[in-house]
Amino acid sequence: MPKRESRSRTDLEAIIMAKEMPYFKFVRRGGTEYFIGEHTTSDGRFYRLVLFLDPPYPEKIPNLYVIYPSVLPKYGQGSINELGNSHAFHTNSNGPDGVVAICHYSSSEWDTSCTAYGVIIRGLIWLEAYAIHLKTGETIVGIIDKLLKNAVQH
Amino acid sequence: MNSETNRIDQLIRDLKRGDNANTGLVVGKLDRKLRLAKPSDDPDSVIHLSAEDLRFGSLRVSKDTKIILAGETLLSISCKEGPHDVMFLCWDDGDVFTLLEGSPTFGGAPGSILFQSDSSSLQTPIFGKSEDLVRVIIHRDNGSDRKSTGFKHLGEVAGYVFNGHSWISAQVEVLPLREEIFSRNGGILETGAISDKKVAVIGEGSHGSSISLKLVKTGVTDFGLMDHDRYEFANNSRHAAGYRHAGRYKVNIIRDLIKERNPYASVQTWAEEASWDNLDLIKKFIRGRDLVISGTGDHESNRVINKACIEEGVVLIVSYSFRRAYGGAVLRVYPRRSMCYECFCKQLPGQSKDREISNEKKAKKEFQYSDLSVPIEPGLSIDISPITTMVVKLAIQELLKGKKSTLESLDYDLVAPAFLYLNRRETGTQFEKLEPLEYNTDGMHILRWYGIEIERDPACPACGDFEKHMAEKYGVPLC
Repeated sequence: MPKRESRSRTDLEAIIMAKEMPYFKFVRRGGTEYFIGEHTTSDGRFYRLVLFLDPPYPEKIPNLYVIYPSVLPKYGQGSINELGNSHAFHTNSNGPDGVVAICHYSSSEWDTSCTAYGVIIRGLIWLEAYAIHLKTGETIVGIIDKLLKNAVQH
Repeated sequence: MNSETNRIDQLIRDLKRGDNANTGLVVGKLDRKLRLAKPSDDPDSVIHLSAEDLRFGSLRVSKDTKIILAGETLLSISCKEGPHDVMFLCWDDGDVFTLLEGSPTFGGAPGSILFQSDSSSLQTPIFGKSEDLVRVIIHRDNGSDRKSTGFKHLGEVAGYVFNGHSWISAQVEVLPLREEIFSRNGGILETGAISDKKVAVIGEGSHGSSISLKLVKTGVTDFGLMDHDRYEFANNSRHAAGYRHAGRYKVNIIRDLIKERNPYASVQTWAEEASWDNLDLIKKFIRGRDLVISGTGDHESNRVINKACIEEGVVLIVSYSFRRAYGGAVLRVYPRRSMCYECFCKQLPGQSKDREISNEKKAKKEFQYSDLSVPIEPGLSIDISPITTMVVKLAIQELLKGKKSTLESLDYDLVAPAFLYLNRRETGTQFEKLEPLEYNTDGMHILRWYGIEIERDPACPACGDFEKHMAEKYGVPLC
């Protein structure tokens, strides 16, 4: 069978993203590849996410950051940024300049069948959960667990 | 200064031999140096040494003392003329002295071996070094053919050990090391059957260390070992090596233990981590090997090793335990012919995610949160043993492929790509409600192996065409 001249994995992911979520753009600059896009949560707040596809993506889990606003306030006082990697808030160690890094997959869940599109979806869910946190003070893990239970029931 | 050093050396030798003290050997209390006593020494400023002070672990040699000599070692030195300086291993306070391949170059018992044609002076060990504790005289029989008579051409052998005062005769045995070390596998697994095979074992913890040592006992002689971890005291209850090895790289420990079983084994050690950053290194490490075994017990490492084996076309066996080793699984991967590690994870996510967290490093790697304490749940060594035994059984069958052996019938038994074993009915798992073993023969029970049939996933991201599957799923052109 003749060898198929396939697109690279990231090229294919860029096409899929352009089709499914066109407001997230694929950027290849120098040796760096990333998706960047905005999302407005149901409470009307505006966020910008960036997903770096550092090599050896997709073998290694990529980093997803909230780059705008650079500081995400926590209910009551303080910020999400101060938490670093937190189970309660589904965050990893902060990214460049201390921005919040969303923990989208655990390393035990990640494999090469996980896609950038799937990661961005989880990023948007995290932002919606964060919007609820700002209203109620619940932890993000608690909110997502509730969302998951509701999703299973329906 | 040199002459003082020589005199001190001589004094220590004399003291070790039991010669009387009053030799004037002292340790300065302030400078802590060993030197000869001076008349001007303040008695309070030095410690005078006696023979007892230097007789560490004194030897209790007797006419029952044995001297064991590896024939091959004697052959390797017998062509050289004159007395030969050698170092014996000394066991049990002088009960046994051994001269084998890999005997220590220092720290053992010094000795000399003399080959001579004339057998008349076999009883007079008047050769060698003054510090010798063992002397062996071998009458060289030049008339016989070495190959046809084994070590018999070495002729009469006499051995002597020094009891502190005089030389006494000891029992000597010359044994064919290479011939005998695996002689008891004969009839089932001939020594040469797998000795030409090259095996890589990645991960030298509780699984890999045990697997490596089982492999060398079955006759594997060419090893590549990879692990970046060092031994910790806490490894003692599960690792093949004991606590004395604390601090050493595990690959170096296992190399030494392999060599202890087979001094002719070839062992390459790579103190590197099986991570994505090292994918190329791992591919290089496994290239040309007949089999790779992953005993890392770590999801990401297994994925990396799986990928490397698929790309290099090397058969992979994965060994791992479930939490607290209530059970475990063994997977066998024929690259692009059978299911791979990632196919297994996709199709049996429950089993693949149920992993033993045996130490903090693994806990941190698998669970990234700092505000959630992850219980470290290592299993018992006895619960890991069945898993590692199965790994080695599969490994031997793999290495014997195409060769006649008594074990051939196992090829018809061990056909599944994955095997499951349960040590107990663990609370909170799907196996909790299994019927007790009792006298049952039907159904699923603990302490038995189960072959699991898992098909290769054509859309597997590691061994299939995932991009094609992805393009079809989202309705986008692949080319």
